[in-house]
Amino acid sequence: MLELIKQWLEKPSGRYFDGLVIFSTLAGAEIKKKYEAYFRELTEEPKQHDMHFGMLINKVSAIAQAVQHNPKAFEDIELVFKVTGPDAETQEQIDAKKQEITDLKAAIELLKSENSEIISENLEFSEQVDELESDLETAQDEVSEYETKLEELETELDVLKAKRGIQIIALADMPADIRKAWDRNGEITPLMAKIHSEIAVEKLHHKTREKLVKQLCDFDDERRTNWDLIDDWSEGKTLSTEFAEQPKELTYDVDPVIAGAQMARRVLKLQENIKNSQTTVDTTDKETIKQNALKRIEAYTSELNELNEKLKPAEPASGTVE
Amino acid sequence: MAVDLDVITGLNGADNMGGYKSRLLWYPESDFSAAPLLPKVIAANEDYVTAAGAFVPKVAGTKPTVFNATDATVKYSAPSQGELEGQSYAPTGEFYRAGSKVEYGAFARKYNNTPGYLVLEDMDGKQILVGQPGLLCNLKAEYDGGQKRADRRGIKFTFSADSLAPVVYLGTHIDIDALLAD
Repeated sequence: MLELIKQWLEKPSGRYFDGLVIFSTLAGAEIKKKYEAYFRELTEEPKQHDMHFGMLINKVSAIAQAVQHNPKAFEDIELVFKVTGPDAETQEQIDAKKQEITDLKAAIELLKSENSEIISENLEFSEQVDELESDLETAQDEVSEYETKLEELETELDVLKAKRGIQIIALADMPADIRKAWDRNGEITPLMAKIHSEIAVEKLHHKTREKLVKQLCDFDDERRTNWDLIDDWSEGKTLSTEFAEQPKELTYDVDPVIAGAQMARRVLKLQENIKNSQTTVDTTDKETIKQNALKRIEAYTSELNELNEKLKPAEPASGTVE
Repeated sequence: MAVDLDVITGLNGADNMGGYKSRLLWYPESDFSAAPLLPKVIAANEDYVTAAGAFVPKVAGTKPTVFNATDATVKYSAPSQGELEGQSYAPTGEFYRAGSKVEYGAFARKYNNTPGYLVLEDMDGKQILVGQPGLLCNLKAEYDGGQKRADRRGIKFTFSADSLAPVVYLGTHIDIDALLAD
């Protein structure tokens, strides 16, 4: 009990009515008669420097000293402080609010944690975006570089086109059929020159001359046809070799000696062509060029095999006497 | 009066900061009808230095003056006085209020010749009472406006009293924050 009184005396602020319980329970009859009515004037908690409060503290201090001096006199007395807490309904509301506060605190913690995760992800994405932007800039630089080059090339191309319709043709890019026509014209030209010189001989029999003229005309027609084919291809009129008109099969002279010479030259030419095309296949990066070169090689090889077959020396007839 | 004192132990890790908090309370004796008292009969060891009770104002609503001293200017000491077998203490101390507000001067003049009670608070939060009925605390105020630019100007209050105990603690704590809020 003394402990309770001392606790109250140490800090009575806000506990006036507990002090009043101590006074009412433990004060002597005379003192109570003098002061109790005065102390009970208050119905609300007074401030600490209220006269009532000061006097009550003094009276309780006196009681505390009396209890200390003579504890036995107060042994059986029990102090029951009036519980001045909130009623059940208010308490329920307080509990609900407390629960709400707890829940909100938990939610805040969760949001804080999520927020920090989002911030960290955001940083990662920002870094990725930075990297991508840097890549994009590099790519844009390359694009603009290529655009500049393209413009330069277009300008060069325009200049070249303006020069008498010159076409820039790479022999390696020629499809097999066009290449054949090109090579054939190379062969025809010296033959035509030769016929020209033969026709010029005055003593020539008119039948022979007629024959030679016809041959010359045929060669001329063939050459023109070949040039048309090459021109069409170079101007892009022929889209694909598959759709292109197949060149006429090479015809060789009726004279076996001339035909033999033509064929021999043709064999050499084909071998050279195969070699060139193979170099193209080995060196090019472009798939289309590579495919075209391979097709040419196939065609040349096939023609070469045919020619080699024709050029084989005839086997001597059995039973021939030397 | 045979009282066995407790064993006096050392600090054992407790804090021991010197000086006082800069808040003081001044209770003019004329405004209060009762003040905390050292018990006349000692029942426990703490009674030697603990004043029981509270200040009771003569007029309802009277409050003490809360005095905010300049920081680290509050001083309290209680030298011994008297001859052998007649010794007591002469608590004395000072506090300072820097500045030249009119209120400071008014306070100084008003309580220059008015005894009362002074309450100090030490660094542990314990409140010390200077002055007991019949052995009241007196204030002396001195103003110094300084001379050089770097000098501090303000009022220095010195206080003194006679006391049976070197230090008197308040048994009932006074809530100064509540006083300021009232």
